[in-house]
Amino acid sequence: MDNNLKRSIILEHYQHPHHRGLVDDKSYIKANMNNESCIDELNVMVKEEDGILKDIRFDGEACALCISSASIMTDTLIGKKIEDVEKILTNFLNMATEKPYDEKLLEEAIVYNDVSKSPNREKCVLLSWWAIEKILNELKDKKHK
Amino acid sequence: MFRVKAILKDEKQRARYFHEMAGDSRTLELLLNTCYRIGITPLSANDGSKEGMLSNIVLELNKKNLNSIGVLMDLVEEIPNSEFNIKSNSDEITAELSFSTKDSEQFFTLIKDTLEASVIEKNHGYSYTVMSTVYNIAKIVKEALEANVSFATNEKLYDLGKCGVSLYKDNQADKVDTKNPDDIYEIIEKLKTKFALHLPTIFFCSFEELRTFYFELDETVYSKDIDGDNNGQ
Repeated sequence: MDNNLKRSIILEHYQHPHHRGLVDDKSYIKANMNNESCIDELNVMVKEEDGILKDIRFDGEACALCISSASIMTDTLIGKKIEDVEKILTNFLNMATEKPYDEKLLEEAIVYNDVSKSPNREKCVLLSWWAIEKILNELKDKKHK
Repeated sequence: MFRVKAILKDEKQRARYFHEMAGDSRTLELLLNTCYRIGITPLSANDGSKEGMLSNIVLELNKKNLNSIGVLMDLVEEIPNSEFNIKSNSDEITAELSFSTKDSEQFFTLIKDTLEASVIEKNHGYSYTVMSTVYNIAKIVKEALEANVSFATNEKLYDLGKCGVSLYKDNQADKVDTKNPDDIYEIIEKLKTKFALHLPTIFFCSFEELRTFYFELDETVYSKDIDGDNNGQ
């Protein structure tokens, strides 16, 4: 993807983030994430029903890359089955750490395919995705109990 | 005007500081106590009772209180002759709300009530987004460029969704020329294409343009070394 196009997608999601703002609903599972190397602090909440991520919301104080990545993450994962979310997540984390990945699965999140070249920004891009990983683990724990 | 630099440790010491900062204004004293109670450190205040002096409060800005400080900025639309500023230097980032009116007591109470309500309200408004952007700019400018930021808006500008911003190094404060502002689009283009930012600079822009400026500044600082100019161009 052309760098200017990537930049404009990231900027658009930063300027007008999707699914920003938390809701007061106890059926959501929440995760709070901090990035010590940056100023990022995100709250992410997920509503899961019948093995599908019905809704994802986020809010917090974060840099441009972190906000845009969280916005793209919500667009990419909402409405997906948990097993598909896990595949996307694995591929996204692989992409960010220079491991083999399937770019077709990542949809718009492919705009971060160069982030591994800026190690100090990796955490900014990954923070919201780590929150989803944390929430998925919590969902698994709940189901095993 | 008293400036509190020390950490306020106990009730007795805290009350004394706030009493002295508030001058003869009981409502200002109550406001300063409220600020402290909700996690905002008041750094200085003036009750505006002396002729030629503005009423003001200066508060410490940090990432935990962006929402409350944001609602403080919203008040420029309600308090006549008011101005809201954020200023950063190597030590701290501060927010100041100042105003000139004969009835400052009424507005200190309004500010107090607004701040108290901001703590209860969980949904962040648009002013939070603006505050977050200004805070991010101040952090980058301070840490990566070792420069200062000054952000200002008032009723007229805020109503239009606009603000004024200047960026300068310590030795450039007197070189910021408010009468000859730079063009925000030229600055953004320079950041984008040449990965350069000349300091000092001052520009007026919309809040959306400010977010674009931050985005490009962030990209520039983290992807290439910035070309700082200390010659005041």
